[in-house]
Amino acid sequence: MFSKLLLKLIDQAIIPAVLLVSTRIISIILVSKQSSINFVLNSNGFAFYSAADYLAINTMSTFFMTVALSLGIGYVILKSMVFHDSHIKPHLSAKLFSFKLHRLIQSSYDLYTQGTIWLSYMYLLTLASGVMLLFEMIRGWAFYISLAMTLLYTLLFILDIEAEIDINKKYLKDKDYIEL
Amino acid sequence: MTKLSSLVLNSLLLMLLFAVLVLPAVSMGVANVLPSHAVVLSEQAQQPVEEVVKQATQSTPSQRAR
Repeated sequence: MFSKLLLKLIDQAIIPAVLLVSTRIISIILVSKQSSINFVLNSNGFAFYSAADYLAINTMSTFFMTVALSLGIGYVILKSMVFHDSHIKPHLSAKLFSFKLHRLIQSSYDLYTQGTIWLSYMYLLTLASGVMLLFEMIRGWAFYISLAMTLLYTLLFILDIEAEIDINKKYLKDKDYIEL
Repeated sequence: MTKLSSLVLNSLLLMLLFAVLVLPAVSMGVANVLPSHAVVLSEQAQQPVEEVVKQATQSTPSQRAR
């Protein structure tokens, strides 16, 4: 009745959402304290006394969100490029089992659902920061870093999918050869 | 009936997924400027262009924002 894929995607989406929202709130508080910038907490959230303060805090907070997201995607990309069950090297696999880290070895289904969700967040963050830049609510560098990270991770993700397709093609060819 | 209920449930799941995905982008709106300052900004926007350019060229970026 329920789509298993949708349930899996929702399950994978919760952790990055919590991470991003908490990064946003914690970074606003910490950067304000660090820069001795005062703010008021009202029904609309954190309100700053000047546009310059808001600009500085918003830029830094967006940057920290990009960093948090990049670390998360980096971990997923590392798993899909190095610890993917379809092409993990035998000696690495043996080492992971000996260190009881075999949880790192995951299937394409797990890795690609995670990758899709994390990349979606990256695209949304880039889009939101682009809109904020248009209205001069953040500085340009925060948007360009976010855009660069999005492009880099999209490229890495595509490269891994292409490698996976090649492996599957080779496997099917070998299978046909054996069956013949 | 089974197909219809499945369609409805999956649509709800899709909406839930969308809501979870959009949540961090919405959270970016938790920071804002006090409304009293926003009024000052809108008043500044009504100034003649020459005045704004003059102010912009005579002050530092942080002073301009204030």
